[in-house]
Amino acid sequence: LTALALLWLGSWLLTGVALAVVIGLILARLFAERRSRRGETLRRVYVAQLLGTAPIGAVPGRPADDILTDVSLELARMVRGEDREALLARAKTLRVPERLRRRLRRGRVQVRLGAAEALAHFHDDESLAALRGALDDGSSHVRLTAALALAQHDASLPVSMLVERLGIGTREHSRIGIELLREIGRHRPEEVAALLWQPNVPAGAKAAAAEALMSSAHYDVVPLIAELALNSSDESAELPAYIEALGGLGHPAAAAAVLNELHSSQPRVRAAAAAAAGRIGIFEAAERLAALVGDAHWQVRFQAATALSRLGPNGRKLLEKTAADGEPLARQAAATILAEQALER
Amino acid sequence: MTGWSDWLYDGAAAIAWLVIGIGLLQILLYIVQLFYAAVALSERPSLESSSLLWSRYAGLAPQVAIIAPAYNEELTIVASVDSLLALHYPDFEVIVVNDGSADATLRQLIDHYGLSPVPRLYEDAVSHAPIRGLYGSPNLPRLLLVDKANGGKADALNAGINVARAPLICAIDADTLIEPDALIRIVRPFVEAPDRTVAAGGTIRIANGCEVDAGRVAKVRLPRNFLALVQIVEYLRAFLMARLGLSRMRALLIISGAFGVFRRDAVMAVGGYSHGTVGEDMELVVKLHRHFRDLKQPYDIAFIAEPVAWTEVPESLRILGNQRARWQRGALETFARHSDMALNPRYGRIGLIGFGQVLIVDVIGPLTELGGYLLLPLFWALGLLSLDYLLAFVAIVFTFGLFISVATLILEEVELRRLPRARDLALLTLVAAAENFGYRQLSNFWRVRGLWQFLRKQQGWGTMTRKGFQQV
Repeated sequence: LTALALLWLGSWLLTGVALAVVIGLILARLFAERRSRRGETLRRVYVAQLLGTAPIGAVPGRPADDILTDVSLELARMVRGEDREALLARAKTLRVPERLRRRLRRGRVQVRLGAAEALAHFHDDESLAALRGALDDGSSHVRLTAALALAQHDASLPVSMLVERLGIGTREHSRIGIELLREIGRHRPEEVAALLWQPNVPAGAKAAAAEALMSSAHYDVVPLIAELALNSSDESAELPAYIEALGGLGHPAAAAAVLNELHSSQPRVRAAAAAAAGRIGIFEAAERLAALVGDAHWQVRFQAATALSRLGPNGRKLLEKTAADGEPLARQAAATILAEQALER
Repeated sequence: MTGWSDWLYDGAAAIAWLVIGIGLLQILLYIVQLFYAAVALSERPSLESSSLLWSRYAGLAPQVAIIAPAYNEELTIVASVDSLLALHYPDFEVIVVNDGSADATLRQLIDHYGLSPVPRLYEDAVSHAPIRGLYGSPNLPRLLLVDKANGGKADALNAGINVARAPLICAIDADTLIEPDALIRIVRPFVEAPDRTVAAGGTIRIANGCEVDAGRVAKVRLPRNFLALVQIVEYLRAFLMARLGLSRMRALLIISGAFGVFRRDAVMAVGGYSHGTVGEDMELVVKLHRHFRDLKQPYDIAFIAEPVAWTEVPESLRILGNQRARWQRGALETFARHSDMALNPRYGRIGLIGFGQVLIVDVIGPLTELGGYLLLPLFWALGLLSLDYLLAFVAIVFTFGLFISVATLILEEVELRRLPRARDLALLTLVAAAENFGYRQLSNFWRVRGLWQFLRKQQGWGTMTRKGFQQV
């Protein structure tokens, strides 16, 4: 073949492939549309069976596992209480968990992910075993989602083991990891709290545990997190998370750590400490907060002024004084926050 | 005399080989992008169900400030803001920045939403023209109106960035129609890799021909105008192939100014949007790359195909030509400002792949292709080039273009499937074939015009007359 012939052959080949692809796409679309019309009929039948308005049994034509599974999950997300229990029982009769377990083993990442999420609705032993198996899945998203599904049933592995297996705080920084620890903390807060003092737990996992416990009422962890904060260097990536957790917990036992971090060299830490001081209501912080209203960093000025406005009449007085005779930056910050708060009231 | 003709013949051959070489390089780039786009889709397939997405991410989604710069948008601004306020996202704020409009944009907003002046402590970290006032309403805590002196889109976005308090900002055009679940979809990388993700872009689709109801695309339809149809094919290639592929290669240099989400602290660290360029969206992304590469900090700038925003595109040659020349000028301005990054191993794949692609596709590409159209027939007429080879080469370039467009249609079918009818696929294939005859050449001409404007340091945006969305 000459170069010329090769060029023409290439052109014809490209045109042929392009044409074949378009024809293939159109046929696939037509087939999908036909399937979708049939799917609509089947959906209606399955909805009726799952809601108990029609007896469980035969469907017109060939059953469609995918549609049945999807409809079950859509409904399960919509209904609550006894209706949900009844719905899930009917889904079990229709062998939906079995199908989900198959999806969890064989599907594409997205399919496996959906299956792991959906299996959270069922708490039979086989489904839990399948979810435990998915903790070794090749996709980190599937592993995390399976762990979360197990946690929702309080069937999670021991937290320290899970942290190591999923690489939370080391390889895995997804916020779903924090959600997982939060979920486990609902049933076993002591176990999540234990992460904070175990020496072999990575700092990233400790910060995730602190954040997960932030919205709990588990105040026993406050001294632990405060100690972690006090022992962290100013530049530590975890320090702001510890301070934010202390602020979220809102317990006065955090006062020493928060007061200390109000003097941090890092603006992000100072801002977090100022916010925490306001949330906890640390009155001893008022003078320092008033000084921070004139900080060179906007975020610190904003958080300090907001925190002062939360510290009762004394805090407000200090803020008004700063607005009247502070440095220009502080004056502006204090006056604007006072005006914002007045509008909110 | 023989020496003269030899010299001419060698020169013609060298030019022909240069044109062929650049053409082949572009083809190679497109194949690589296509491959990586397919890999990206297989690694992070789309999530179809919005409710599933909501149940998965709503509790973890960070607060977002949507910044909508508006200049002389009195006719559409209320509908645009209504649609923004109706987005499905757990925690967001809409900051409309009136960029010194000469029409009644400000009045429309104040009157329609019952806004009044409000105090707000805001940062002064990035530069912009003075803010004249802030307006809000206790009935609409999610809406904040910033009125400022005119300074251009980048300037207005900077004002919005300063005023925002959320950790993420979403920069849009005021007339962009964002799909209700687009925000929750686009924050996915910020939830899954919060330590690394600094920016994420979504897909821009063309709303010409579609039916729009209450700020939403109610019915997707292909436009009748040929120029709008060609642009649909172009946008599919640009977003579903180039950006998805380059993002997977970690060499994405642009996130569309019509819809992109950024970490606010990262944007501030690079000084916000740059003034004095019409390519402020590309400039920002390149500045982010430079910043994190210089600091040797790991980071990601992602493109996700599923979040979709709709925009109106020009349907007249004059306006489209201006727009394309402006885009070209913007790309060249950024390339020139950061030319030290180009092919510089210090900037890794950004310097080599990202800038390499801009160099081949945007800097050299239009010049060589247009040069080829002019010179190759001339060489043939002078008997310096074989007609057979010329035709065969043109055929392979055109059919490859068709093949790439069709391959992008596969990605569209797999990933988004926004084309409602099977026959739309056939129509777009025909358009992809037809664009090679006339439109492709014109498009290169516009880009060369952009190059000329860049060399003459011409500034300004030109005019964009909008036809308006087709309301139900």
